Amino acid sequence: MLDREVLIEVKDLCKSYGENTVLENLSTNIYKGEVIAIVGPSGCGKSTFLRSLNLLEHPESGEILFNGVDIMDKKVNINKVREKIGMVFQQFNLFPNMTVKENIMLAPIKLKIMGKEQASKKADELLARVGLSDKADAYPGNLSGGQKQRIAIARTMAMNPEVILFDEPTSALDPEMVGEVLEIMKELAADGMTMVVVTHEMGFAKEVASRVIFIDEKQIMEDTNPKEFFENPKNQRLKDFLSKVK
Amino acid sequence: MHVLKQKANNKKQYILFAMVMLLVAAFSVGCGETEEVKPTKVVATVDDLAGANVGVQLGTTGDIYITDYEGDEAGTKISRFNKGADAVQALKQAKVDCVLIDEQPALSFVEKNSELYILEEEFAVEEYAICIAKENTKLKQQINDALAELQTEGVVADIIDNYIGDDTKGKTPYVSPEDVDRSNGTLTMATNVGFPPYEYYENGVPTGIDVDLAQAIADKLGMELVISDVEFDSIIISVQSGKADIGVAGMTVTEDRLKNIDFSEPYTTAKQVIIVKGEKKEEDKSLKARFYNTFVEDDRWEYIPKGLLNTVIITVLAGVIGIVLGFVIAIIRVAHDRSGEGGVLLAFFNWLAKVYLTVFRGTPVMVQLLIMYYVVFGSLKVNPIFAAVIAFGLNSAAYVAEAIRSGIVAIEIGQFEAGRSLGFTYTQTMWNIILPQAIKNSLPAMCNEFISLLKESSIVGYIGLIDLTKAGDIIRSTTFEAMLPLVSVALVYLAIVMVMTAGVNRLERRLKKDAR
Repeated sequence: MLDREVLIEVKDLCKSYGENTVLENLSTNIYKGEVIAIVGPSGCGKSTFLRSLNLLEHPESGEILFNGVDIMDKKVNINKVREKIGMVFQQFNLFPNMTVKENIMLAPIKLKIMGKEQASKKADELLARVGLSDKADAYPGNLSGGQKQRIAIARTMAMNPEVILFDEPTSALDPEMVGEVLEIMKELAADGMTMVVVTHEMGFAKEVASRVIFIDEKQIMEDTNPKEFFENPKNQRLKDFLSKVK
Repeated sequence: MHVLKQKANNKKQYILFAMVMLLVAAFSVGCGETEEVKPTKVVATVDDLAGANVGVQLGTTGDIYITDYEGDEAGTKISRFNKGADAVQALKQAKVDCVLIDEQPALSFVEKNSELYILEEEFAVEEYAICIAKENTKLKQQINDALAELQTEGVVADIIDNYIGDDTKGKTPYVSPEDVDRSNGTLTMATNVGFPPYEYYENGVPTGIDVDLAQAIADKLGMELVISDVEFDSIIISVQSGKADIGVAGMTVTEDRLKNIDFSEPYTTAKQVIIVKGEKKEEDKSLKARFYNTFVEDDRWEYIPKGLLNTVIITVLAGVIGIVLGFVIAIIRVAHDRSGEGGVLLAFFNWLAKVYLTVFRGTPVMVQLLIMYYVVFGSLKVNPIFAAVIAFGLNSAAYVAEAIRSGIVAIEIGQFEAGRSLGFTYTQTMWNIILPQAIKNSLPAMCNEFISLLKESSIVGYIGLIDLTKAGDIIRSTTFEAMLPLVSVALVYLAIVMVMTAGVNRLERRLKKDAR
């Protein structure tokens, strides 16, 4: 464990909306290759924490070091950093006016990471990987929720990110579609992708995650491996939470 | 397929409905003309004016004199028209009891309308003079000198005789001397063409006593004459603001006018007379004759394409300004509301944009146009088309900005976050992801804006431009035929609007197909 490389280091993170404090002095390390599941009651700040990692939310204070660089520093070009931090949203947020393939190719081409041909090849590979090669020319409006989320994953993968943040990726899906999305995420994890997943899917946390974090009361209350987390929870609030979700 | 067919049917019904409505409207206008309507009060002498509904041309001396009667015990009512011809038309339709106007135009109106006649008793005698800006004493001197020379040479008398008097009419037309050196610049004359025989259109060219007289003066001064046709009550403002050098429009010297403007020595005397309506004589009123009179005679139809060209130029150029400026304003407003970054400068521009939107959406476009022409460009000689394009462009930008802004706001914030999370900057996200969707959202609103822009451009006649509406108006005031020119102008507008609507519908359908 100790010799593993730190990818993101969070120190004393504080975030509030007006009077309402959401996160208070939260600190943790995210190592390369880890799959972290973040769970907690709704409104506990787990999504805010996740969205702080690529500064979609701006924390009041603290530090977020990505590969050793404090991304909250005004001098750092956050756009360059975000190219390396992928994100998958609950509502997919595919671009409805573009085809599936155009969705995937847009960022690599416009941000001049790849040429058109290379981006097209990459998109084809990714579409095959998420099992949707036949949907390349379809528009998002014609896809099911599960298919949309798989395309959203492919879109963020096209940028070759070092880490992918998942913000409740299965919460907006009909139950029968949850499986296909989790399957793709499992494969990603097996390939060694660093992932931080805010989720309500305890099954995923149990089976796929290498580490589970429980956030409540503006803090990390429990942070351990899945086996310990589910079989031997120490925190009283976590015990209550687990009894409710079971 | 089924739905499409139904849509096409709906459209056909819509067109049919529009046609029927137009026909009904046209018929009611046509009938109004043939039906004999009696005036409410018979005016037989000057004393009968008290208590009558008197029609006048706005800003004329007739208007000034009769204003003393306004609000008297007898209940005299005054109807002020932009043109003498409009007042006469109202008299024909018994909307007023009589028209108080200068003698010469009255004669010309009566000649064309057999049921009208002039009371023998005149209302007042007055003198016409040329108006010149107060500070322009040099030009005043030059004009007085030229007038004096023209009087002694008999040129003034010849010009007047050429238009007035059955025996002398057409015998002594004014011709500019050959080899006139016109190196002294231009002499711009503001007038209101529609006041025969002083100024009226003949074959599309302003003609008349005042026009010839101004030409004779320009010849004396070695200048090029330019004629600017504006509303009568705008002539003094035009001269005052320097848009025109002189105003020649059968103008009488009055105390009120002298407060604002200077006058040359008078060049002729005239009378204010009263026109009333009598018995109607039989005339050829067949549709064919009316059509001939409206469009074919003197090639009057030519006004319509000429006017249409100006309408199209103003609409298209103003539309382009509206789109470009509207975009910029919308983006400033959204950037300020959404990003929260940008600091003081953005806050300032946002404030500026808000003020702009409030002012331009909170005042009538008519007033904006007049301010643009007479105030903003007041002391500059600009092409009125330019002033109209700027005024309508700025007005349109305010509406386009709001259309685009609401198009942007309607897009889910998630689209924006998806763009930013991929590494796009704010601007790149806007350009690549948000705007293509926002434009689609705002297309219907923008289409409506351009349709109203086209229709609103019909007020440019107020700054002396001949657009489609003014073209119909010129025909109406020369022929006293209201239905045909107005309905044909309406049909041209309707056709353009329908083509625009069809075009945008097609575009919208294509964009929709992309997203499904």
